[in-house]
Amino acid sequence: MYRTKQEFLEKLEKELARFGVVDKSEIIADFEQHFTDSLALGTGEAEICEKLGDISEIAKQYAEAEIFPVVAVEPEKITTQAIVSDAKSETEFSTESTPEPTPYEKSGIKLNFGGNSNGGTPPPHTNQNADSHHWNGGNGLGGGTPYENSGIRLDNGGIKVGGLITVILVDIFVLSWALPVLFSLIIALLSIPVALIGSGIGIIAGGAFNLSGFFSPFSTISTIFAGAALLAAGGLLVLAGIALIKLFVKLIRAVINWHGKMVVGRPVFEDKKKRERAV
Amino acid sequence: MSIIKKGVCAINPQLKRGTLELCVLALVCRGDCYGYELVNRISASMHITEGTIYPLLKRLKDNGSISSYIVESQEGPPRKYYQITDIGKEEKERQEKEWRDFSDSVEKLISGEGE
Repeated sequence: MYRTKQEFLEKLEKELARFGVVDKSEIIADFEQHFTDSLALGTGEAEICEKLGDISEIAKQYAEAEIFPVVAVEPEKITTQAIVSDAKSETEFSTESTPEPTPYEKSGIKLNFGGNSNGGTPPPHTNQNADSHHWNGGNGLGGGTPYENSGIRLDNGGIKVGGLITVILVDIFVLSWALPVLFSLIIALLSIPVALIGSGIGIIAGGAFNLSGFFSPFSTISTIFAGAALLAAGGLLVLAGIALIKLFVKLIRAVINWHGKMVVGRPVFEDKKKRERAV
Repeated sequence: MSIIKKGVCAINPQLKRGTLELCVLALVCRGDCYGYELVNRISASMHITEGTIYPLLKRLKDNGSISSYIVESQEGPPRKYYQITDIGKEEKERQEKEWRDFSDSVEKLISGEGE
């Protein structure tokens, strides 16, 4: 969490750059003003930062505001009109209600493969007969209603082509060998505690059967102590091994989330708490 | 970790997200105001993550519902004020009507009226 104005603004600038937001300086100035106003009322910098919330989420919302700036035609408005006045001609409605392509469709930055979730569903309270002409029923390229597109969160299953290519390249050239190498290293390291525990058991058993007199100059007691020490070392290393495996699982999770972020703009395993806080 | 003040309404995030825009439009409709003023007024009655108001303002500005102008101030940097546009007024009316219809329907369902 960020505690000072300086840290907050620096991180915000980085995140805005990461999301490719254009008007960075204006946004930073807005937040600077927020800090100035808030500090003038005696709020501490740390508290201001906390109230402002997650920086990545803010940057993401700016990015989405730039991608979907148009609220050109409101389909809901038209359907309400359709219900209120039946006198209007059918053709008039269909010209009105064809959603204009948003700049994001024109620019082709993102392709939407999730047609159904975007633009296909008419609001539940509308007259179905009147509707069938107006909605171009979930076509692949998302004739998304500007209303839905202007929503804060990207839930339309849009896929970033640039991100997808990056992900594939990184998978082929880095992750394909880095992950197996890491995994085998961990497995190899796990053999050390196994060896320690094995020799510990052996030494204790040898001591207990009083074989030490024959094979070693040490007394039975010290042999058993030595065995116990080996066992303890082995046990500790097992704990370390478990921690390593947990770290590895975290890494895999992070890698999967990164894939999600690059391709569809949001992590696969989303932190639910974080998401709810970010409103 | 979140600080919820007394008398401040903590509602479902999804519901809030949709109504926040209407709240901002309604406030700006009542008179020009600057960003922090808006944040303060909304957070006085609703529990919000304050940082989300600014992207919302930008979006409203980009789609022509509000416009901004700069006022030089004696202390500190010049301050940005937001002002409603004709498009914004229409948008507010539309969203307000939608909200009232919606909340009436919910109210009826909850109270079991007309059954």
